[in-house]
Amino acid sequence: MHEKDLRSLDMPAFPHYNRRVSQIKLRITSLIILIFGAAWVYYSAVDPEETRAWRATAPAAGFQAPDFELQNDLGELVRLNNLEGQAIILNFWASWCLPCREEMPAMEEIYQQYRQQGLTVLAVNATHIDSRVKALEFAALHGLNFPILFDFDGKVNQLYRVNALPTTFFISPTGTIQEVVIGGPMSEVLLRLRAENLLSGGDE
Amino acid sequence: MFPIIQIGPLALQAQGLIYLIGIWIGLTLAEKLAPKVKFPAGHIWNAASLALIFGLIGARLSYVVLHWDVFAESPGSIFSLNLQLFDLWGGIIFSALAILIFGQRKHFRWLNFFDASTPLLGVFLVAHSLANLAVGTGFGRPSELPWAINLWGANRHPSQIYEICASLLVLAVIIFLIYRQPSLPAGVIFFLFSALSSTWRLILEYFRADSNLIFQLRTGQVISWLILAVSLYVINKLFYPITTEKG
Repeated sequence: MHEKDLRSLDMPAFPHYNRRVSQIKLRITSLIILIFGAAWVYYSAVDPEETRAWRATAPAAGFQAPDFELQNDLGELVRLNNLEGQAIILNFWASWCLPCREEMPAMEEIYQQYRQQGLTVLAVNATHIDSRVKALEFAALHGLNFPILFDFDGKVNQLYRVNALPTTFFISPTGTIQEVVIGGPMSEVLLRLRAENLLSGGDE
Repeated sequence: MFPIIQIGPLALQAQGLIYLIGIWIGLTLAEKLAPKVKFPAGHIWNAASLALIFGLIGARLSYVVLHWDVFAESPGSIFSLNLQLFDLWGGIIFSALAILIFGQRKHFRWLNFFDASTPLLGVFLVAHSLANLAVGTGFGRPSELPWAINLWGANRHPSQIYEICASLLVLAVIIFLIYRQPSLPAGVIFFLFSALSSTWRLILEYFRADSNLIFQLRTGQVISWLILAVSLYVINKLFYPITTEKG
């Protein structure tokens, strides 16, 4: 056979044909993956109420803040759940902790500025590893007016799984923890932005 | 959960430490594998350093601009060390711009650059899942399965462990392909990684309890599906580019 006749048998077209088949196979596979993916997205749809039930009470962002009751500097009992409706900055601290000491004046500033709008600062002193007297001395020295609470047996620190001081929980008026900040000192700007966010009901 | 790693008097936040180690391992791996995807190894660290520096500056600048009314009252806070005062998207945009300008000046072949960056992204995803496990974020929905873990007051799917396994598997596939399939078209490694990662996210998001919702659909899944669609489309185009026949 002549070369011209061989060409007429379409032999050189086979590689092109195979390539075309592979291309179509890849497209069909991609399409099937996307269809299954879309079906899975639809199947995974969930009622927002159900997701709320998955996040009941725990010391983490997105959960309801665990309730507790502690004595304040006046000897009165303060219960977290009684403060529902107020935005709360819950700060765990100790008088010997340098970053805790550094952020307290900013905390006082924010408390004074936003307390009328419904913001409360609760400063839980880790009294089991600190001293009530020293905590009160520090509060008096810096003119702190927000409630200082005393965790004598460390149970509330344990309840909130506090591993480092300071640790701060930002709790919305509905009792949901919006953010947890481990370490410090927090700047006044950060506290102000978070306080405004809590009061405006943001990130609910 | 181990959010704080205590070394003597020093308390280190596990999350940050895991990300740092992850980025370092990722960069080292990317640099080692770069020649196999036909990209100069030396550019990896330079591009990453620029992305990091400009990313940090951009993230803070963006945050300051967005909240200027508050920063105007205390301008010194612009230089605050608080990690919460960064805007993620501002950081990403500035990083991308820095890499874009650097790449243009160094005449990057962009598809090869994407392939060379893939090991870094792969290790970063593993680190991200590990960090989630360390601090208890990205937690699973309640479950009574024998391998459920007790977290945040309930027995839950160990969603973080699922994600660690999935991201390790994807990383292994990518490293295997880089070593064994050097003839793949440029860009396939990156978009295959993107497709595989979005697939596992699409599947595993179902087991999570912290999903954001959009019309009852999980936002993470919707975004993953879109990324998957784009990745598959590009892979098709890379394997079978449109050619104009001359006759």
